[in-house]
Amino acid sequence: MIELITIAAGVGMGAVGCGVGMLIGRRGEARRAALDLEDHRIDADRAAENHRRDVEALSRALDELRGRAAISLAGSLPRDAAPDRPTARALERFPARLRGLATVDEAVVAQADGLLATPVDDAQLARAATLVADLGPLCDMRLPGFIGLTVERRGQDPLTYRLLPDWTGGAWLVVAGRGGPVNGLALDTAIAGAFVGQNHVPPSQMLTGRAPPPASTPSILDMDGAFQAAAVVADGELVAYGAIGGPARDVMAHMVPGLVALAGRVRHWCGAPLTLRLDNPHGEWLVWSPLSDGRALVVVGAGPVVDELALERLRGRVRRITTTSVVEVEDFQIEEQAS
Amino acid sequence: MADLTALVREVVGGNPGVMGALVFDDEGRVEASVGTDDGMVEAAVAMCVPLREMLERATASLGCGEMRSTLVQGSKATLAVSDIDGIQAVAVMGVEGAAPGPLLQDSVWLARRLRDGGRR
Repeated sequence: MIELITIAAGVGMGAVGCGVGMLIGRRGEARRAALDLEDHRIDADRAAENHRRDVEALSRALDELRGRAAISLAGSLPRDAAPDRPTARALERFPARLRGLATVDEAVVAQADGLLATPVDDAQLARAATLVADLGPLCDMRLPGFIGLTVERRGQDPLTYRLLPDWTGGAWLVVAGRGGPVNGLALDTAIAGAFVGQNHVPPSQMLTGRAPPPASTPSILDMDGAFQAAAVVADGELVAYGAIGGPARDVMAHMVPGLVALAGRVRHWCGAPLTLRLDNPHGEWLVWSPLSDGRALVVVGAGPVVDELALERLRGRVRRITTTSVVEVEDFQIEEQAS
Repeated sequence: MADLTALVREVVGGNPGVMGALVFDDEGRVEASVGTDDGMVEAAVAMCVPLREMLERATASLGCGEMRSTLVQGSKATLAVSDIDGIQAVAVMGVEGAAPGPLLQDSVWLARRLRDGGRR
């Protein structure tokens, strides 16, 4: 009798165990299915986001092409010899070529002393053009060789600054873009097309002091090779640095005080910048990107377009490293040099 | 009128070429001054009041309309004066070697902000 009860109890326990097992199994399946669904949703979101970015990039590229074609057309007008002094009539030729183009909201020329050389009704642009009084000396001393600046601002049209040829005595063209920044290369075409024989290619410090190519990819940099060098600036000092054949550390360190000063002046004359992009005539650029905690990320690269996604990824990585663990970033640098 | 001290502090923070500023009226009364000593204020007012009067007349005769701003550029220092409301004006004084464009822009900006801030 006792044996029968034991067997019955054993069978009963077995059935319960099997039932629990099946329940757990089903729950596991349900969880897996939920995870699969979540993965699928993430993949779908990612695909939709990629599609949206592709469409945006295409649209931007089309706009740039249209703007460049229009400006190239403006640059192909009959040209006179470059004048020997910056007369008002000659200086007016630059903004006059750009007004009316779809990508240009307004353009003005500012002299080296920050006074406007051409009339403009837009008070905000007139104020923004005053930056030239600071930009010129900074590009002579701390940021040598840069001839272009693009200021991206939150909720306001971007501004593009371009140094004009020598005969203008250090004047800059200042252009407010409509919706997006005016393509700097297109502006160069328009500037070169205004007069004959006015090329202006100052020497660039970035080209002279290059870091040796590293044996392995540095950790601080993005792995897709979007940038040649990157640095983190905190309290006006360069606290982290990495390069793949980009400017050497001392070249970057030399530029940091100039960049900090420039960011301060831009804030005063144009409003808080989202990014500052400096261009030299050799197709190289430097982007200053303030982070929310007072630090700033500096990246250097070459080519017409800055890889915005790579920049955002790098910003995210640097943002995760707190100010107190700057040493951690320096470790990357040590790791990079050691490898 | 908006707080001149706070406004000038904001200007000096962004434009190291600015030494100080003062607000005065067409009878030479000084409403406020920042970053200037008594002697400097006296000299600036002694120059700016008749200068404004003369320029007002000249611009009216030439058909230029109301005078908005003017820049006095010396070999060592520069002074920018902008009209606030036809009676009062703001003068921005630059440090030695300051670029004139930024001084003029900041005087225009200060005048606009003081005008928008209303009369005391």
